[in-house]
Amino acid sequence: MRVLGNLLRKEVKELLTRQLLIPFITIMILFLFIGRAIRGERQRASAPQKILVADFDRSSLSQDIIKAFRLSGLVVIETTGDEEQVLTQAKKEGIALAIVIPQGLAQNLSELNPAEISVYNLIQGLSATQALRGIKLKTILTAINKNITADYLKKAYPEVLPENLQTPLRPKEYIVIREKVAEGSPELLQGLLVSQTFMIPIILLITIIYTSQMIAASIGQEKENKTLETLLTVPISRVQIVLGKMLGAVVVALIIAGIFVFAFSYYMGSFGELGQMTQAVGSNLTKQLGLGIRLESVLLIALSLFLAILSALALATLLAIFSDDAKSAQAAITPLMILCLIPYFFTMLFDIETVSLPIKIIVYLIPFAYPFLTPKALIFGNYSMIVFGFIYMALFSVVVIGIAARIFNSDRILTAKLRFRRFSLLR
Amino acid sequence: MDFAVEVSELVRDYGALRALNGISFNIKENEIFGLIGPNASGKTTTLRIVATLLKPTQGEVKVFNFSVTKNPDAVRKLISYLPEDAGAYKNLSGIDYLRFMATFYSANNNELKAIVEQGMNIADLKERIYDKVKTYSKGMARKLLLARALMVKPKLAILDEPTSGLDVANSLEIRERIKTFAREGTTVLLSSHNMLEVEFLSDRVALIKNGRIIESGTPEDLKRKYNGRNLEEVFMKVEKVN
Repeated sequence: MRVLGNLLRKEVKELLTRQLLIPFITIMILFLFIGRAIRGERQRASAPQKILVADFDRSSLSQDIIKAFRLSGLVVIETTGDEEQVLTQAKKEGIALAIVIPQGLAQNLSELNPAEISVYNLIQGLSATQALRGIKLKTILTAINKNITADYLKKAYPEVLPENLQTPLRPKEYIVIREKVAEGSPELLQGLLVSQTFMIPIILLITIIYTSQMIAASIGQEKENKTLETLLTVPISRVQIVLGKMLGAVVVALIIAGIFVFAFSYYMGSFGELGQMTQAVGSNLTKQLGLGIRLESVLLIALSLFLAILSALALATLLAIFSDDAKSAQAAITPLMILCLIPYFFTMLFDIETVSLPIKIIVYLIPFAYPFLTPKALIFGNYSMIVFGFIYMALFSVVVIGIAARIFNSDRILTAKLRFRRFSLLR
Repeated sequence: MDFAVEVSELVRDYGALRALNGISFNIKENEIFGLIGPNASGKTTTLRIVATLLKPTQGEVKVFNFSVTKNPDAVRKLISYLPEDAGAYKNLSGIDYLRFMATFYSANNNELKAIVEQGMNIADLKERIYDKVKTYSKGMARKLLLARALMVKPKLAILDEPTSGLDVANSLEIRERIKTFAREGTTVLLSSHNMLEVEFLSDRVALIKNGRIIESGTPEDLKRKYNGRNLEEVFMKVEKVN
């Protein structure tokens, strides 16, 4: 353990350099900055909003509409003058929304004719705030419309509830998963599950790419600087050298992944209430379906991630052995990156159960595919696939680490590449 | 007689290319033995085989009676190898590098401290030992690496081109350190294409060319035999004969 600890400390010190950390800290700051900016925009959008209203109708109905605006949290500033004067005033006072209620509105509606009210969006920039303000007003106007219709219906059919006439057909959607049934739409469930598991592929992708690059660069640099030659002549086991390298890369990658997850979560959290609402409705739905986040699910996903990272590191180590410097080591792990990206895009676009057999086999052969597939397998209770994935990834890692250790134990670690190219350097 | 190193009929092939073609030599305990020869003559391959890095295609190498192929772990406990143009870990300080390497040769903290102290004395980098290796000049880095190789008091130090690429002052310093250390009981096997350096350091030398030893003996004997003023002249004359 003393030897392994010593190797691990050295690896971490060698890998955790300013050059490595600066880009990550920059990304983190960028995410935090964007997240903060979005939160600011949302706060501005949800702050009491001024609205300029010119009421040319002066009817009780038009006053009710203005009252509804006020009750919805809008700060109504009433004005007079023609449309041009209204717009000039709105521009002057920096008000983004102006509404003109035309004369004869109440009259038209009482005669069951449609009536128009003009909504002026004074564009001050194409920001999220601007869009959110427009959506809020539209929601209020839809509610007013519904109330007016309800009033008509109440007058025409006093014995019937207006909503019975407004929405006579009410589809009630249910989701059936395994033996459990719950009320809800598949879109809601899909959205919820994506929100619960969207971090998994991102964490996996970042961790695998960076751990692989780090271990490859580390082996490449050791070969380039001949520090590996020195290390291979000290009285320690070569398996410890391989494990020390792999563990060092894992530690550094976890630090990087942690930094990224923190910054990315803050960024995603900035999208706020809408997401939280969906989450609240959805968590009830997932509870009923037995899909809530349980400790065993978290452990299974974590184990899957761990085994996938182990497989990637083992493969990266093996590939890097055949390089003779840091640059060629980075190039050597390109196939691994591709193997990692295939399941990432595959799971975004397809379902493993519905694709053809050859594609299914290809995906199942990629050890890093299982963490992408595990969350869905957990939902549908496909535990055999999860267990198969664990066994496959563990076997893959053991075999590849075994091959890497054998190469480290032989002189191929120094000659594997050179044998094909530069005989003279060895003499 | 027991030898520190026994090399017999050593052959090493790289694919179709024969890098070593039946090399044999012995090194006595506490002796400094120099392998000299031009580039690509087989010096580094020989040293790498003795250092357990490469396996011979044929022949046998024993270090203090342990076979490098059958018992490499036992050999690794007795040797210290300094590769040509080797570097140290750039993001470690000199002291951290010595400590890292010393850990593999020490059973407890007291032993570790003693080895690191010895390394600091040999490197003699003063306060710069606390700086990162990436800030070192080539000479400083080589002194650190030599200190790393010698601080563990190996029974056999294998030094490949110990002064390669260094200026005169640094080369002299390093040669002096090797000589001093050898007097304290370490057997040294070194290689160089700088024949004057090997002549200065070595008790005995072997001249190697195209994977064969073409002559061996003490520098004085060889100079006398070939009527040369130094080993360079001897090498030229031996080359003509062969």
